[in-house]
Amino acid sequence: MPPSLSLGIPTQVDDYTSVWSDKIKGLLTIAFSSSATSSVIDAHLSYPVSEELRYQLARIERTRALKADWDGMGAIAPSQATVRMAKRAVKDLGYAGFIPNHIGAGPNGELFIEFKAPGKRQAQVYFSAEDGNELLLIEGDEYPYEGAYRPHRLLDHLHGK
Amino acid sequence: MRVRTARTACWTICMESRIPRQAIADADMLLRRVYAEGDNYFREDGTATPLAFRLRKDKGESGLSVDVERLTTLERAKKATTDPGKYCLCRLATAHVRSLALCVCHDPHPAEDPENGAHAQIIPFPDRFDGCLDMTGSDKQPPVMLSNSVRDRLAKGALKT
Repeated sequence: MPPSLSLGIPTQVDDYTSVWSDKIKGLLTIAFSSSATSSVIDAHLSYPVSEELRYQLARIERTRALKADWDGMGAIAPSQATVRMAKRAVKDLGYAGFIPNHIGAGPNGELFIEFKAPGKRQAQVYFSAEDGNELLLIEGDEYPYEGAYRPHRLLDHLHGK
Repeated sequence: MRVRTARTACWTICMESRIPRQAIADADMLLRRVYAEGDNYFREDGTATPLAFRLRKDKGESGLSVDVERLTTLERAKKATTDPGKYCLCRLATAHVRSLALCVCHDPHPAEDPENGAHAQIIPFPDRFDGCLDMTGSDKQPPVMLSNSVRDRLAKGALKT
């Protein structure tokens, strides 16, 4: 595996895609097709990932090493699909300017990603390829949204809309 | 005759060490054992994430296992695992749990830890087991469950010891 992949650096345009990132996807498609189709290093150089984002992506990547019963209480290891999905979403959000403040694996194989925006706004996302993704929006002591993961809602919340 | 006497003595001691089911007071503190290796269940600042209060679906959990501090010791609560050094205890006030409309039910000597007379469960009212003396949340419609927001509130009230 190329080192860039182990750090979570995207190597294909599809790595960037999601239902909400059409704009980013468009920009990347142009850039990839014009200058960086032959080398993942070129792709990396064309689209530098911030150190902070790289660190958080590496934290997600690290959860691949977890085995069954990793907490001694029967925890399930995150599936490859869950890790892939979480990395893609964190990349998308990172390019939009939002870096998680905490990433952790849960007992049911889920990945927990937490964001803190300026003010009292926070968001928690649970990624699970098996059980579906969940979103919790927090504003001070209130929870304005709790339900299925909606990238648009998350971004609006973090933007303070 | 000697064997019979020995058996009687053991029976007496064992029965005496069993703690009968009792009501848990609001002033009681609860201890939840949480895996503390790595950075999954705790943030870098040491605060517990809601992952520490997630039900384990493969075990069919309907409530969160805790020990009543009054009925145990910190050492006993932590040592119930094979590798106690990897775990820490989160302390929660029963009053805080009940303020979230959740029941705290004493559940002594459960099958998975038969020597633990301090065992209790934090459990939504609809999921209470027979014999639970707590009626908290019975007036809530729809009933309060262990949703992500409720678990986030639980985590915010937990103190790592």
